[in-house]
Amino acid sequence: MAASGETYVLEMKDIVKTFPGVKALDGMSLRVRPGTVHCLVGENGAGKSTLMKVLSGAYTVDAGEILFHGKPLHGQNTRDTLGMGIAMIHQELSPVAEMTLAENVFLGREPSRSGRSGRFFVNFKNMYAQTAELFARIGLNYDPRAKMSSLSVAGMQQVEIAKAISRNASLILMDEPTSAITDKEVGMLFRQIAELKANGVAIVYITHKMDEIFAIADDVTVIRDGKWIASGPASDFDNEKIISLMVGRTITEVFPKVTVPIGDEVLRVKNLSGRAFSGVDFCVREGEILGLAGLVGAGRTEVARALFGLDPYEGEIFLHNRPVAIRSVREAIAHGIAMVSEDRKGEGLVLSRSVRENTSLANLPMFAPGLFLDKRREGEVVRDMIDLLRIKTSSMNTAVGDLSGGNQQKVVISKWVMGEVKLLILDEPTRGVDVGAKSEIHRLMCELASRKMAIIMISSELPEILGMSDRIIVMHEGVMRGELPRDQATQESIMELATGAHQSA
Amino acid sequence: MHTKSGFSFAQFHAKYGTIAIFAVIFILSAVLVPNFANPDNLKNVLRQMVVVTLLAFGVTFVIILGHIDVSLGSVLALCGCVAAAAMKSTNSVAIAVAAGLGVGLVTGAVNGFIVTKFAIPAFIMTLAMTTVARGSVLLFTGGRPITNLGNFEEIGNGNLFGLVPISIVILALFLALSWLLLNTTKYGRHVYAVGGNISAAIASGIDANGVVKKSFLYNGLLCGLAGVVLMSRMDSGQPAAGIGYEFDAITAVVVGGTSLAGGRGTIIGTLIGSAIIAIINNDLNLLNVHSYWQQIAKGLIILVAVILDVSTRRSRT
Amino acid sequence: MKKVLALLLAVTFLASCAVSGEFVIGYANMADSDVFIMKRMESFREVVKKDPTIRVIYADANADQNRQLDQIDNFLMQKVDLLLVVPVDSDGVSGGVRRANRAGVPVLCLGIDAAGGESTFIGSPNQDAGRQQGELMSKLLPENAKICYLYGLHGNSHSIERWESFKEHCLDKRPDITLLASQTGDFERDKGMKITEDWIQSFPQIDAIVSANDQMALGAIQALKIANRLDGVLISGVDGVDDAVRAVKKGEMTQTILQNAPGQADAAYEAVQMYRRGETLPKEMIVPFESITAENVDQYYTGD
Repeated sequence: MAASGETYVLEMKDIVKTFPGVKALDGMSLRVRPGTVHCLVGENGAGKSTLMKVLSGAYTVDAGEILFHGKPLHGQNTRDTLGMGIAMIHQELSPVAEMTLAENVFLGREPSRSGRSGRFFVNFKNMYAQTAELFARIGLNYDPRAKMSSLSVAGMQQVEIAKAISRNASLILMDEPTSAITDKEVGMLFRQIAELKANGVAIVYITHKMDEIFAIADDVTVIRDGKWIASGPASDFDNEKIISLMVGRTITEVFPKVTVPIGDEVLRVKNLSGRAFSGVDFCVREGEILGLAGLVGAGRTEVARALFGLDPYEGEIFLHNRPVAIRSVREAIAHGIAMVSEDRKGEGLVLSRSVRENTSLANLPMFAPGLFLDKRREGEVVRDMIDLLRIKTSSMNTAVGDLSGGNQQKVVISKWVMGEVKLLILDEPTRGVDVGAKSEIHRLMCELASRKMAIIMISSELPEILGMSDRIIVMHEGVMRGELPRDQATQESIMELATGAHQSA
Repeated sequence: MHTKSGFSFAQFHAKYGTIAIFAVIFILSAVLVPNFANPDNLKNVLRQMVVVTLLAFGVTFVIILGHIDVSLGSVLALCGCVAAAAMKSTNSVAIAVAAGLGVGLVTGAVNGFIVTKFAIPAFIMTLAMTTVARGSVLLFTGGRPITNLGNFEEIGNGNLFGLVPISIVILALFLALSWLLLNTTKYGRHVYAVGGNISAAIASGIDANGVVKKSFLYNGLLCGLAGVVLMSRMDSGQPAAGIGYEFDAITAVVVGGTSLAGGRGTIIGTLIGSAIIAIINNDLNLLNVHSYWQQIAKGLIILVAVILDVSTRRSRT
Repeated sequence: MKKVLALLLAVTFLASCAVSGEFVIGYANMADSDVFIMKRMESFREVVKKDPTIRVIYADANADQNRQLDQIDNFLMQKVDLLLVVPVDSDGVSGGVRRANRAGVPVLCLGIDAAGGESTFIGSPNQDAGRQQGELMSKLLPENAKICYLYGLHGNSHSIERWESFKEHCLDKRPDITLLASQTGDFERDKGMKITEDWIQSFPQIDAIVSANDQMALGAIQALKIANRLDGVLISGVDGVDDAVRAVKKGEMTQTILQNAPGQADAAYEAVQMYRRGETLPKEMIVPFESITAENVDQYYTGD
């Protein structure tokens, strides 16, 4: 596909793109060699998505030059760039769920029927045959006539990649493709990437996961605040170097675990069963961070939802040694239980409303002894929270939807911190959050623990579990597989329990 | 865009929102339309906008919640005619008003209950309510207007201390009440939260269904009040009145910057939206624009206002 | 399930069909929400009680011609013996009238004549109403008078015919009269009131407001009263509804043209009986409009 002897598939030089009040890209450069994987690394908000949109033709640049196969790219729309061989795999896939796989693959360029009226009618037979042939060629085991909605996120991603291949793309951009798929599926994705490489396709791979960079990258470019920071072969970089380039400072401690004295028992559950889990027993004490480890789908989130009154359960729950029943979120809150949901945008925040309103949402009675809200008092408390959590926002009246992922997460946490919370459940508290905000959230967890709060943390990132927990519970297929104290836990011992290897062995 | 110098309306609007459109329309009207700026005419416009604005205040709550109410016009007719009938049989303005508001509250309670209990889209529920209410009012009045209502017309046409029209006082009171409810109470915050993201609201311990029910109740109350004011203005209970008022009210809400998708909107915006529409109507009549052209002009002006609003809002985020 | 449903449908269908010896009339009304049209229907309901062998099925088109055509088809399906139609539109109803002709069902058109097909028109020609309004206004209005006109629904033949004949008998004959403004109030009282309020702002002098029906005229009176401008303004409407007659009696309204609802209902009943006696129905049965003014209002005023 790539012309032989060509040095670069894509060259971007000194790209500038400004929006009212913001320089999203400010002298960004990127050179991608054919048949390689080029990792583009940067914190959230560094300008990666803008770069993608510039390449796809959604935005036009204010200054700079883009060469694709040596030819300048300027003023094209998305349809043009697709035709030229640039394909995008977005972080949030947007397939037409109720159409078949083949219809999705051929969306916008449906094969025509022969004959005079052919231009108006879709040649479905041809379309399904071509899709089946394509799937066979790249080793996808799906029925082209299946509905897109029947596939998992990883499946949809694979179909998107197949679509890119069918368009003869010579450059594929992937935006954090592993953010929503399982480890096993990541393996499949990487194999597919290797095959694409072998066929001369160049891949720009956007991520901020260190292990992925070193697993697949040939070249690395670091971007910060819309500016080019560094480029080079992956072998020139290591973990610490990339992080310090990304954040512009050296992060001394990724997991600033502070040990605090563990106090009385706050919560104990006995033989707890519910949707997707059964027979769970554990307790958590004041000042303790209990890590809940396991693979995606192990039932950890479901346990948390039951404790927070979102799902029904069977079994016994004791708070401070007294039996309680939690039938609704309101009851859970009344008992001093709070939960930061894994689905930040879905259940944690009202994106259209301000930082102030989101922060005080769960604690309005605090500010309204009578009918009316004491807005001054509310403002003071929210201001304190913004300071305490170091939430970066232009004002407390900014809509939460305008903040970065890390700051959004801090708002969700602040919502619960200000109330009389005794037990805080954090479900994937740092997913999709950049490195800087991540360490601040960890620091905050320790701070809360030192105030005698009991914390249950669900995380799929083993380093986070190991770094932050006082004690770790591992779940597998809805059942508790084991409990490990901090000093006995290792990546290996957790994975063994989480994959069920221990049991089957 | 920000590099351009000089005046641009889009920028001006981005900064000041719907109120900019209002200011421009008001100034243009004052300069170009004879008699517009006459104090009597301004009072006239205010009086004319009372009914639709009351409806719009109520439905603002419903729309912020991401719901809709298309039954406003016929519920208004039902409430107003019940009030007129009560006036006729008791000759007491207080009882008449109470009867009208009562019917409004009942229809609001029914809408809210069924929408939350059976998870029916509010559009469908209120569509059903539209024909039920219109049918009820025709049945109840036999299709004939109720007339000879004593001093019932005081509400819509009387003046407080011989100076300020009572209907405008009612509008001001409910402007204040609606604003207070939405901006200073827990309930108001809950309305925005449920409309913005119902899952997040529930996960914050908010009784989302309760918020929806309360909002339909308030909406029904205002609908009843609007019905009383309208019938009182006409000094009679008119069973066929109010046709299409729901669209005027919803248009005012949308022009006022409230998102039909829910989560966003203000009472002041609704007031301004309603004022914009009332002024345009008044202008077109004062200029004696042929009514065919009026319909076209109104549609276009509203479209332009909303496009400006949407496009500038997008460029702000 | 489907069978039960089919059976149910069949039963209800049979039930709605003529029982032997019964004479069934399909009454396709234009809009039950209109005051005058409703009054005429009620009058017919009253007069038809005299004959127990007559059964009437009613349908309301809610001012939608398309819906009315469906309702006419339904009546024909139910094999009614006679159709009484209050057409939404003179031309629009023609298809339905022709289908009735083919089915051998006689058609009586109330209020508005059908443009096509064979039918008997029973009512008061709108031109007469406009003429009577025009004649009185051109008699009473002073030199160089300034007036406003309120139309009814756009595209409605009542509205168009009343306006055209008013124009012919007043504005065309008295070129000194200025028509300040004309707007549509959709035959509704609140809209007539709103428009008049705006006119009051625009025009310091209005000598008359002429309206295509009483409801809008009454709205105009209400607006003028509030602004203390009613004195000396001539108001004319059409229909002769109770409120309007009372307004004439009180001296607030100059004229209303009575469209005689009971009279039309009586004529319709008479036509039905003629048909049953085997007599040929005439092309039209005119029930004249009657101009009600201060002079003759006592004949019509029934008290409160």
